[in-house]
Amino acid sequence: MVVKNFQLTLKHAIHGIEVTRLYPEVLMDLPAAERGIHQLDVRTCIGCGACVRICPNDCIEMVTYKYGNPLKNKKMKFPQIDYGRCMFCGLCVDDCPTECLTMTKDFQIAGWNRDDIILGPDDIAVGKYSDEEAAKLAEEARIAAEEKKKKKAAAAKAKKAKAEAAKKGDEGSGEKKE
Amino acid sequence: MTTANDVLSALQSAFPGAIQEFRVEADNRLWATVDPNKIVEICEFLRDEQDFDHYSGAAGVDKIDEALFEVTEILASHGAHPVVALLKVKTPRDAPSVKSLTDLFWNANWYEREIWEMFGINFEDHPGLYPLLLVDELVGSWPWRKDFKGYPDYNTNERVLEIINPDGYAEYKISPTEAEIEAGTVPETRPEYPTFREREIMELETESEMILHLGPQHAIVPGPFMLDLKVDGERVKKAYLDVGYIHKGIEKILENRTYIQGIPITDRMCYLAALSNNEAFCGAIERLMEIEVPERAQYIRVILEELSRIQSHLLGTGEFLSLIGGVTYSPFQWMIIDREETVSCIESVTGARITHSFIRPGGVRNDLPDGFAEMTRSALKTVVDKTNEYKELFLSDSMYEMRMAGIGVLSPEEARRLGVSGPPLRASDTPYDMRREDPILVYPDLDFDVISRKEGDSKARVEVRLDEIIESCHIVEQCLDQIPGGPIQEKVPKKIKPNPGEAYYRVEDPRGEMGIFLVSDGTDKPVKVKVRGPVFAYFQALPPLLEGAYVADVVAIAGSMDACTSEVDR
Repeated sequence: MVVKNFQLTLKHAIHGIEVTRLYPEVLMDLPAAERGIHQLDVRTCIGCGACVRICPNDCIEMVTYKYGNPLKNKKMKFPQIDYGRCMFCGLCVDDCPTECLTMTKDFQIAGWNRDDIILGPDDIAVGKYSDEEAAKLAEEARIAAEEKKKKKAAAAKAKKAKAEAAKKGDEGSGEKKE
Repeated sequence: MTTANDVLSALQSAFPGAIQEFRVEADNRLWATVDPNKIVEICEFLRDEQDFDHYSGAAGVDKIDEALFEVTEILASHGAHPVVALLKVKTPRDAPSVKSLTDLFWNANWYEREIWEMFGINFEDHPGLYPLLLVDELVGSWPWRKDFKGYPDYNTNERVLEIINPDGYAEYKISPTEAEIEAGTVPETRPEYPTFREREIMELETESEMILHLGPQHAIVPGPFMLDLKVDGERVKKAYLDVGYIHKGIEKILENRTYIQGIPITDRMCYLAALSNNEAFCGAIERLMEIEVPERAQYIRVILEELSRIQSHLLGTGEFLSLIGGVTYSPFQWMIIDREETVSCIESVTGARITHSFIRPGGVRNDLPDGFAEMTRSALKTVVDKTNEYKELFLSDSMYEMRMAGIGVLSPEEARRLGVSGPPLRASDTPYDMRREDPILVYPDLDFDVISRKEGDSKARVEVRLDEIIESCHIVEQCLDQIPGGPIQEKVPKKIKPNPGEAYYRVEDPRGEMGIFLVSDGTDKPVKVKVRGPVFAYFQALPPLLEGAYVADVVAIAGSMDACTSEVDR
């Protein structure tokens, strides 16, 4: 009776199913849906903070980072993720309105210190601008902001003028009545 | 077939005036608020006259606005009819006391102990109200009440008093401040009770008896729990079980998270059944929001839950067989190899291997990837072939037969009385399966058998699991053939706010009946989530099952239940 079991064991031994992987030299094939370390497209991130609000473990913080797109992200705040707390649930990715935050197949995060596993925007960013581009964009943003400010000022001025005119008109009509 | 309306009319005619409020949610759900003085009589009537022989659990709810506590008793039937009766008993908040149901239903014991230690609701005539999950320091502060304000911080060290005892070891004592006592954070007087160790030593009668400790950290147990055996020679005279070593307070955590944020937390109750836990939680939310899941999403859920059942049974069985000493072969490694492929199939959809966080209220997170059907079919073929091989192997092994057959026999009546569910119940000639009794998703459209065995011993329990693997493969194959196209997510608001009310949703976990009792008040956070886990019921049934067994068989009996401590403690 027991001989049969030995036969099965031998069969398994001879047929040699390779199970052990030579990690870390050989990694297993991960599917496209894999939830690993995040990736942030800094060109499209608008800094809305939706990921911060949804995170169940409160591991995301918005920090200032200069190689983003100031035309979209006015305060230049981008997510920084503490992987010591992250449980890779993927809720932040689901909630991202511009789909700039995604998860990659990379999962190797170990570090010597606690600070090593806090990844800021610079570590997870893709498509970040070069210094010149960043300066140019900052300039553009400054001009845009100034123009907006001017427009606003002009609008305020126009409004004020209109209000004054209306007031005058009122006074004028009042005078006429008298 | 009896429906909820029939049960309600029978109750109203038998107990005029005792049913204060009622709501018939569906043909199989009856909600009723009953007179606290008559709860025992009503339950007795339901058990004896209406076949409600399955006591499924109890949940406490703190209604702080109305100065009330509510205890909801959940009663169901072992296959006579599909009605679940949820009877609510109200009790004032200042002197909470409810009549105990332990005389009627043996397994009410632990559920009532849990409610007592968490809410401070006294159960009259309970045989032993001792803490179950909490540490001794917290007993008496009633942590699940809504006005619980926390506990002194162990980490700041500010109020920790270091005392060097005569042996030279340092002991740390935390003395609460006056203000904390006044605020009710720290109980002024704690309930007096003998500890777990004292209780078992009290029961030692003769010189020849002794207590044998298995656990809490023992090589043979999958999670930390303490099983103490009172032995006389080689026989177990009585067993005592202490749980709560990894109590995480998940039910309280869920009250402080939004519904969406709660989904990853439910994974952590039992990582082998993460998808079923997600399903139970999201299903309860869907009941309250009254939304229908798109058909494709339902199929995806069924496929993944069945794959999850396969991998859970493979791991559970393999682990158990290595515990009893798979003598001439090592099925654990073989089953792990089979399981890898199944887990990879799940991972290709969900993106994670064990904690999936995949199901969402009204749908699922991702669609199936390209090539999923072929990948799964080839994985399932391996699983079916290998499982048949294991069955043949066990049948031919005389040593396996000697260790397993006739060991830990649970008769059908005993199994029902002890309140177990899932494979151990089905191995005892009771084909009770939530997929049939309380059909959800597309299970009614699928063709599958409920596996059962007549013997009720350890061997039958393993056989049921192995057969269920094959049956699950059959279900998945049907789903892969039938799955329609279409959307995978129903439109739901960005902020999920279910309608005020209560829902009870049951799914068939790999281990048995998993129910979520959810109370909502219309905000984005739940008021109360009660997890009725299957392993909690197994664990409670373990001491009576072990009585009279040989010490050498304890592992064969306890292991064949396929327990998961993490879910017991939650």
